[in-house]
This record gives sequence, structure tokens and C-alpha cells, in this order.
Amino acid sequence: MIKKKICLIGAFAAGKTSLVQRHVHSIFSARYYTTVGVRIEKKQLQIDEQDISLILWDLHGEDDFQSVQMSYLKGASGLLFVVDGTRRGTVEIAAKLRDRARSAVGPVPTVIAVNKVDLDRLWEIRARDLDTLAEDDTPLFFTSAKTGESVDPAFRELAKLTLNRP
Amino acid sequence: MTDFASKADPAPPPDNLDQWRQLRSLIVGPEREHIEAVQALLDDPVLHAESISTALPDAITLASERSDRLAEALQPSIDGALRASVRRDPAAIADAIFPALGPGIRKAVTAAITRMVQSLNRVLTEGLSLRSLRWRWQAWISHRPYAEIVLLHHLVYRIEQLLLIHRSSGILLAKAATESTEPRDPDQVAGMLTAIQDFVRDAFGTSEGEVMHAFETDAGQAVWIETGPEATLAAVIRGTPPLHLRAQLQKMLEEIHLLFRRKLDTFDGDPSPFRLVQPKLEEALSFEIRDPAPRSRAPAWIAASAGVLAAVTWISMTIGEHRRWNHFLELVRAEPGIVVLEADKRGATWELTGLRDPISRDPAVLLDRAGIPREAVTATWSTYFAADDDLAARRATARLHPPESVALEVVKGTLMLSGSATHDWIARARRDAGSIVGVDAIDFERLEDTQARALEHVRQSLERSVLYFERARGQPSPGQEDAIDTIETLVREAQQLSRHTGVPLRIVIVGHADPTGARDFNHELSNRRALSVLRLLETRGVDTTSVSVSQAALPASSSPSAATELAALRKVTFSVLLGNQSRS
Repeated sequence: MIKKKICLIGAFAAGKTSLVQRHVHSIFSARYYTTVGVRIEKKQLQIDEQDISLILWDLHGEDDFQSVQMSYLKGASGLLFVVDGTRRGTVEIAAKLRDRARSAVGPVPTVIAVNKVDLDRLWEIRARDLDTLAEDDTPLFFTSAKTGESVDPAFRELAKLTLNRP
Repeated sequence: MTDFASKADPAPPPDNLDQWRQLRSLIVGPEREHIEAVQALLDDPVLHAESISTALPDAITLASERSDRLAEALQPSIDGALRASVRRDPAAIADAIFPALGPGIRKAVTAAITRMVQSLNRVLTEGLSLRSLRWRWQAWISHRPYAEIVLLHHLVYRIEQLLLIHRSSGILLAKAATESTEPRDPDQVAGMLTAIQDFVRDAFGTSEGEVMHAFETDAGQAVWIETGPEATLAAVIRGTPPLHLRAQLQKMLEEIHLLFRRKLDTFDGDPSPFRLVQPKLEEALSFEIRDPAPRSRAPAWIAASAGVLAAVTWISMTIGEHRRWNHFLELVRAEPGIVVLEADKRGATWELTGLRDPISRDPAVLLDRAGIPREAVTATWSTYFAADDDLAARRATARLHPPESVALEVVKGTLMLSGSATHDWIARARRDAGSIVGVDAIDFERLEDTQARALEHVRQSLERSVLYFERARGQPSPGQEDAIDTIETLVREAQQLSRHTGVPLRIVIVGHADPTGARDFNHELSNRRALSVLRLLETRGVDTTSVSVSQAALPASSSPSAATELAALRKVTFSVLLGNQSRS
């Protein structure tokens, strides 16, 4: 079975953990975020009859008090940036994190999940806000941790991208 | 080239120019094309480089075989390149030499630990308890340092899990675990371990090369982490692991790096090649648990008595051991050809250093005599040659191989030989004895040459031999064949011994006549008789070059004239001259 290290990155409370909670399994408690700043999870998929195990490094969200430790990105095969659709500021944070991530690990397959799509009444983000984050070839998914909408396709897309990498 | 071209290419007459060119292209066309191709190869840097690249490996091999000049010429460039490379990226060089560096460092560390154990040994020697006595006994019977036994008794551990982790991604490459300790999700554990290492590095600001080596829990569990350039080996250990386990883990990781360097470098998430590591990891799990020694439940007085008994036994054994050792030292010091420079006890073994003459007695024999097991002593001898008379005599015996009939001794550097030996042995002994260490002079006076003695015997026998003649006859009387046979044999033996010993020999056949008759006739008759015996020997095939004839002085006419007395005077006798006599 192929194994790929995937890092989940985003602003604090962007819903990274909630996004994966339904589909992934972790033996570690949430306390790890506040202590070590990362929690390891695992998600298994099958892409074109190829079993793949995504080892998810769910990084503590970036906020005023804590920043993402870039050393955790080392050796990652893919990055999943999570943005909170109800907080415009999280797009900017994600963009900054992406730049830092690129300088740390170089160009690696990336997918963007704009989360909390179920909260349409509180939605703050407009299409042009995302222009700064999503480049031409970066897949973008509007996801809902609550309903599970587009969550699995987002991971599948990222898994495919990592497999196609030479 | 130019000279050749000018001679081979004279200016052609203008009317035949075309024909001449045609002819020239026919004759030298292919060679010209070839030369042009070679020139193009030399002119084009790319083609030239390509051409050199094919010849370069062989050229370097040849140059290296012939001399060191190439290495010397390249050295400054290689030194410079290496320095530049280290300045630019020290980690790359460190990674490259990592597999080779480990064994060297381990060796140094092992030496340091050995020294530590030795010093610990001294400290522990001071302590005395019932348990220490038992362990001391164990150390004594197993010939191991006491400190090592103490350490062994404290080693109660088990490796429960081994995880081989890709260093940068934290992805699990291979794992092994004992049945009851299978980790819940080794992939996540591997990731988290890597994360924690990163966390420690970031949190405490250590550099990239500095890594966390271990962490421990109150429950007696420890996680030892060995980090290589591309992979990390984590061992979950219960109990107190021995220090050498760290070296074993390091070695295992180095081997994995050596075997899987390429796979590790290009790792892209497929751990299947690393299943080959699995047996190695499982094998490493097989470290045995050492059960702690059961606590004695015997009443205190039994333990105390046993302690006293053990102490008494130990003390008496120690005393006995020392007595035996001192006895051995006395023996070995009294032994000629052995000089003890240092005798000391290290742990359970005695160490002996000194000088030893190769001809001296094997010190192991003295150990046996003193009742000390041979394996309890380590001896280091440097060779020397002792000048003692006794050893010089042993050396002479070994060199000369004297026959049983020869007695050999060395007195104040003089080799004294007595008894008897063959002429050949004596000659060889004269030649060889001078070069024996410890022999300054040689005395052969009391040594008899057996062949010279035999020659003397033959001389005496031959000089006693007589052949008798009838009156006025020149031929020996009949019936003396046995005597003639004996004489022939003696002559032959004398000649043979003379040849062998080199002692010059001359045999004179002396003719005699009785006084009756004319004096001149008798004189001539004496000569004829001697000559007839000479001819007789010649006819029997005897070499007579060393044989001559002579006449005895005629007896006075007033001599007794009884018939028997006269008959006894008609004879031939033999005179044998040896050595210088033979030349006179």
C-alpha cells in the first residue's frame, strides 16, 4: 500500500479537524494540537484500484497566538489548505501559509477546501477573494464538514495528484 | 606533415591539373577523409570531450597502476573541490560518510566504556555483601570481570517494538513488535514520533543535526530513537536496556542505510521494498528478558552464615590463588632463559610480561606444576637469547644433534665434547659450534673419532699379519689362503678408512729371508717375496697405489739355525704408516 504524507493547513478554527473527523481515524486526542501543535490521522482510499493511505498531519491552526510550525511540512507529498467560508480573513492567512509552505517544501500538489459551505447565510467570501489564493491549476472545493459535501472528492483529488507525481 | 606534403604534392603542370586532382583523390582520398574526420574530432570540444570520456576510465586505471603521479597531480584539485563542497553543504558529506563513521565512533566509545567498567570494577571491589559475594563467585568461575557480572544482573529489558521511519515524511517503512505489544496504529505512531522530534527541535532551538535520542515513562518504558540521514529507527523498550543495545541499533540503522540508500533517497510513499528489513527487525526483538535474581527467603541467620561461609571460601580461595601464583612466579624466575618483567592481576586473569629465550622451557609447564589453569594467565613474551651455560648447552644440543656416544656441556662459555663420534659428525660440529649463541670456545680434546680408532685397529691387525715361504721360494707357501684373504680385507679397510677420515696411509710389504745361503741372493729373495705379495693383492683387485715393497735387514749368520726357527724367518710382514709417517 502506498502511503502519502498530507498536511492540513489553515487558520485557527477553519474546520480542518471537523473536515476530516467523519472520515478519518486518529488514535491521538485533540490535546496534541495545543501541546505539540499537530495531530496525526489516517485516511485510506482507493484510487484506480490502487490502495493509498493518507497520513494526515493535521496542523494546529494559525492565529495571533500560535503559528504553524513549518518543520512539520517536511517530506509532505500534498497540502490541503482549509479556509473558513464565513471568515474572509482566513483566506489571507491561508495565502500567507501557502507562500511559507512553498519556501519550506517547494511545489507540492495542493488542494484548497473552502469549508462551512452549509452556513450560506454567514458566507463572507467572494470569488475575487479566492483569486489571491487559488491559482489556475489549484483545485478548489467548497466543502461542508457538517454535511460531508465535497469532503471526500477533495481528498481523492489530492490523492490522485500525489500519485501522479513522479 | 608539411614536409611530407611538399614532397608528395609537387606543383602539377596546368594542363593536367584536373587529371592530376582526379588521380590524387583516387589515391589519397580515403586517407584524407579520415584525417579530416580526426581533425574535426580534435577541433570540436564536444566531440573531443566525448571521445576522451570513453578512453578516460581506462587511462586513469593504467596511470594509477603505473605510478602515483596522477593521484599527486589531482590531489590539489580534489582537496579544493572537497573543501568547497563541505563549505556549501556540510550535511551532504556527513550523510555520505555516515555509514563509515559509525563503526569508528563505536570503537572509540567501546574503548571508553571498557575503561569505565575497569574503574567501576575497582570501586565495586571495595563493596562486600552476600549478593556481591555470589556475583563475585560467578565472575570467578566464568573468568569475567566482576563489574561485567554486576552490570549483567541489572539488565532486565525487552524490546517491544521496532519502527523504521522515513525521516522527512515520518512514514512508517517497516515495523516489528512482540505479540502482545502490537501498536494500535503504527503509521500514526510513526508520524507522531517524527512530529515530536520536530517539535523538540523547534521548541528547544536545536540544530538540524541534533536530534532527540530517547524519552522515558514512569511505567518503565523507554523509546530509543536512532536517527540516520534518511531514516529513523525507534525502539520501544521495557525495562533497563544495556548500553550496547544503542550500538546495535546504530549498526542496524547503518546497515539499512547502506542496503537501501537509493530507495531511501527516492522514497515516494511506497514502503514495499523495505519489507526486506522486516526479518532484521524481528530478529532484533529476540533480545531475551533477563529474569531478576529471585530474592532469598531464607532466614537472616542462614543468609548470614552463608555469607560468612562464602566470604571464608572466597578469602581462602583468594589466598590459595595468590599462593599458587607466587609459587609459579618463584618457579618461573628460577627458570633459565625466562625473565619476568611484570606480573599483575587484571580482573580474573593474571597478566605476565617478560623476555623468553626460545630454547627455554615452556612456562605453561610451570603453570601446570603450580596448579594454575593455563587459561587464567595471559603472557606476553619478547624473544631474547640468554648467555647461560645451561641454555647454551641446550642450544648446542638442538643445533648439533650429538649421537648418544657424545657428552656435551658448556663450561664458562666453552663447549666441551667428550666420548666418540664419527669423523663426519665431528667435522660438522667443528664447523657449526662456533655460531652457537653462548659458545665462545670449543674443546674437542676428549672426543674420539671412531673411524680414526678403527683405522688404528686395522693398522695393528695388519702389522701382526705374516705370510710364510718355503726355502728359497718367492711365492707364499700353500695353505695360507685364509691369511691372504684376511690381509686383503685389512688392506681394503685401511684404505677405505683413510679415505673417509682423510688420514694419509702407506702400507709397506716387507720381505724377509733366512740367513742361510748367499747374502745377495737372500736380499733379492726378500724383495721378490714382497713383490709377489704385492702382485697377489693386485690380482685380487686391490688398489696398490698406497702400497709399496721393502726388504728387512738380513739376520746375522750367527742367528739360530734350527729348522723351525729358520722357517719363521722366511716371511712377509706389513708396516702401516699413518698421517705424517706415511709421507716419510
